[in-house]
Amino acid sequence: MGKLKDYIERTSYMMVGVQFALAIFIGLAIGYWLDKQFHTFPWLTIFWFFIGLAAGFKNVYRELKKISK
Amino acid sequence: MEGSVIKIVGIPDHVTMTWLMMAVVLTFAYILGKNLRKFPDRVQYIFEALTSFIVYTLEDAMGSYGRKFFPLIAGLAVFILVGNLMGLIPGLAQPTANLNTTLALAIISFLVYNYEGIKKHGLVNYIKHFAGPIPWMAPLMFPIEVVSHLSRILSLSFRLFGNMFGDEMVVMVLLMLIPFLVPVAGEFIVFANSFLQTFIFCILTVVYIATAIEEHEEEHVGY
Repeated sequence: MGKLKDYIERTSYMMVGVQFALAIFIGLAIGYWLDKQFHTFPWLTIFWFFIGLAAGFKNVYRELKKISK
Repeated sequence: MEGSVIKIVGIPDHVTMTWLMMAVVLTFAYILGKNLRKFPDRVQYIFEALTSFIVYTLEDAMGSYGRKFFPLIAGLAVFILVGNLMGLIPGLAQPTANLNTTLALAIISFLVYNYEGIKKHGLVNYIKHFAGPIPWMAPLMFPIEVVSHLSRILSLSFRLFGNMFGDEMVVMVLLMLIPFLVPVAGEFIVFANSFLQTFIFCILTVVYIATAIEEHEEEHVGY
């Protein structure tokens, strides 16, 4: 059964690339929506873009830590 | 391939296809459940193998606690697999080739793993885990964690939708270019990808539930 466990772990690494991109888009979407609410166009979008970027990096970091363990 | 034959006015295609699928699967399950034997015949053996595979996977990921999730994972597996394979029958459409269906499935998986995390650690502890290990960085870490969890819903739903929709497109294009024998290759891609996507969706749900449950212990090891 140890083999199956490896398989499960490896499948979760397939996520990393897609999640990295999607995290940025979600950040952008939240920022854009908030900007529409408060009428402060560029600033919140830029801020949430970086939040999304950081979230993407955090996902990669988490998976890397799991691999290197 | 090109839309379903069965149409009900006012109801979108993927919903009628889901209903048809539900009717077929429920009837099949009822008949199979009535005729269970001690020495299984071929059909029963296939489903026993599927059942034991899912149970082993769950126990591998979460120990004996994982058996609780068998109905959820098996339900997802049957729904997605039958939904994907429906595309092979001419005149029927895949319910999973529509973003609404896959988004609903992904949201179910999202709600379940968050609920399990909250139940295991308590609401305050679960939210505190979002804030990260360093107190003064908490306002920054909290939105980052929220975004990274939201990206899970999107990647789950978009992967299934994109794969199934794309496969259908490949077959349609091949049918237009060379309407003889070549589209069979496209159909084979649909067939193989159905199983692969079902497996990935279910395994990722299991992994999410497992990490939500054990997340707390990880905190003391690293950093």
